[in-house]
Amino acid sequence: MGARLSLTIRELKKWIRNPANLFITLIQPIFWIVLFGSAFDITKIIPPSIPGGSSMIIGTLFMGAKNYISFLTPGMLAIMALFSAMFSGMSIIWDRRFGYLTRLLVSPIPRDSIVLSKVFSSTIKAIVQSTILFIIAILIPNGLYISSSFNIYDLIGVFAIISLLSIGFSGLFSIIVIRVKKMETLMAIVNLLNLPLMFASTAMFPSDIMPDWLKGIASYNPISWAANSLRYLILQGSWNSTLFTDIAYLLIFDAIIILAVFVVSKYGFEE
Amino acid sequence: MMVEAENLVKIYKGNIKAVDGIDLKIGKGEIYGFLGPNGAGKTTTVKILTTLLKPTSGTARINGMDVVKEQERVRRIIGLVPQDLSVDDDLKGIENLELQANFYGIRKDEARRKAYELLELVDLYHAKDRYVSTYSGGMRKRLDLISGLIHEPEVLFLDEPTLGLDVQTRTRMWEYIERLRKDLGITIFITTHYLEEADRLCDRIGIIDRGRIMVEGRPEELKRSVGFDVIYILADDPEPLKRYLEGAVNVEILEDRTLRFSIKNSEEYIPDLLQKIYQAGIKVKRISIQKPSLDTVFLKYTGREMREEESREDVMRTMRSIRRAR
Repeated sequence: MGARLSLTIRELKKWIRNPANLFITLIQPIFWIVLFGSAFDITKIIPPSIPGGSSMIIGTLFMGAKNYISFLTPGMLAIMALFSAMFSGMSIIWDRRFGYLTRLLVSPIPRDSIVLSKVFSSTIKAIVQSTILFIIAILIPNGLYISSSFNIYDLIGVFAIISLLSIGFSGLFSIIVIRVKKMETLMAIVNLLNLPLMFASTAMFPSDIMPDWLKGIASYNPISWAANSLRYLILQGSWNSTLFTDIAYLLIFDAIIILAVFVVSKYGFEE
Repeated sequence: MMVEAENLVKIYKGNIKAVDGIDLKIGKGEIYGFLGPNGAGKTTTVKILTTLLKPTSGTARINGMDVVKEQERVRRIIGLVPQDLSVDDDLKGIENLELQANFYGIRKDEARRKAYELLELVDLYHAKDRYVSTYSGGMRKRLDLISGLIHEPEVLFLDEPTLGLDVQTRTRMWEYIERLRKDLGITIFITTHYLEEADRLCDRIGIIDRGRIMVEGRPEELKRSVGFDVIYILADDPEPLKRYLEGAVNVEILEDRTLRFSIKNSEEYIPDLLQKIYQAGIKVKRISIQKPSLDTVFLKYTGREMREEESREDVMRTMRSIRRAR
């Protein structure tokens, strides 16, 4: 475990010592839920004249959310794990540019420790960030309404799901950038993947209002699995079979990525 | 043998031959220097020997262990101080060293003791608790140097250890490197394109150009092998002087109207030559004689002057490395 642990601690030290960075990564999702959550409040589009009342339809369509911010917040938690994972990929390139990677590669540490330390640290960052975001979402007026039955097990479930998503994506991005030498290339890759991953998911909109083709894509997006499971836990406090299926998908996703991390980092690193 | 290589070849993509059949034999405790211009293949060779690059063909061993087949074991006994800075700016000096020690499985208290010792050795102990981002260029380079030593390697590779340092800092680095050898007795492999550096530090030098070792030997041996002096004559019109240079080799007119040539027994040759020149009525402004040095050795074996190779690329590289360090 030696190098994997000590390199993870290195990452976390660098993170904590740069409060500006921490602040920015936190403020962004808060902007999202406050601004996006208010401006794009799609629950308002549904006319109240619908038989059965709009609140019931909103309840079904938005998985029990009492307002759009409540629907959006679990999605934002998933998106934040995605952002954190992208930064971890970026830090491999920084290590390369600043020569630190040479130091790592010339020492007898297992190659996977270089990638896994990014994965672990990114997951811990995601957990800390989501906790803060979660609290703020509850505190803002007319913000997140959590289910009345929400308990400690649900909270552990929430952290577990965020961790699973974070492990998968930070592993994925690290593998992608393992041979990328230029920051510009990574930026292009991140921009390319960022948008489709975010919008072809149920993080911001319920799949029922999507066109069929998009709905199909969204159902294979790990962000949807995470966003939906988080909603079951946070909004309904229910451990239903759909939730377990989504968690199972996330586990399979992670297993494949971790395996790939071991293989790719063993043979893929080069000076 | 501590470092051995046989017919090492590295061809990069695009058919660029960086290393073209290098053989090496370096004994325990020796300081061996690779002297050559930029792009001669020095860094590529170091990268192969330190397991960072795989050779296209040929074999290399560190203390009998193959650098391709026994990477992990080789990494345990080597230390590398790369050409570009490689310490973490966001960590403190001591944290960099302790992390490095951790990579080699050194216990924490042991690592700290060792780190203090090395910090003292390069006069950095006072700055150990400062962030590396507050260090000067010379301090960083020194921290880099001892980072490669924390695990007591048997071979230390120093790739251009004083590139981009000012003269004063460079002289101090040399003192530190000499101290390392004296105190720790480790084998050191240095690459450099500073003749003075190779001359001062190395027991043995290999002159490398275009991926090949042109000649190898002790600095004095190499200088003796040249056997002739290099003469520089500055004149308004050096061209007609050429006619009088009997027995001279490597005759060339340099850009600044200086005639350069090599000759044996310059002490006897010069008065003779001057007489001829005066009789022909040619005005000479300045004459200088350079006794054998590694400069002349390099000239003899490559037909070029080392200085001509100190290019802009060099300056740019240094600038870049400083900029990135900020």
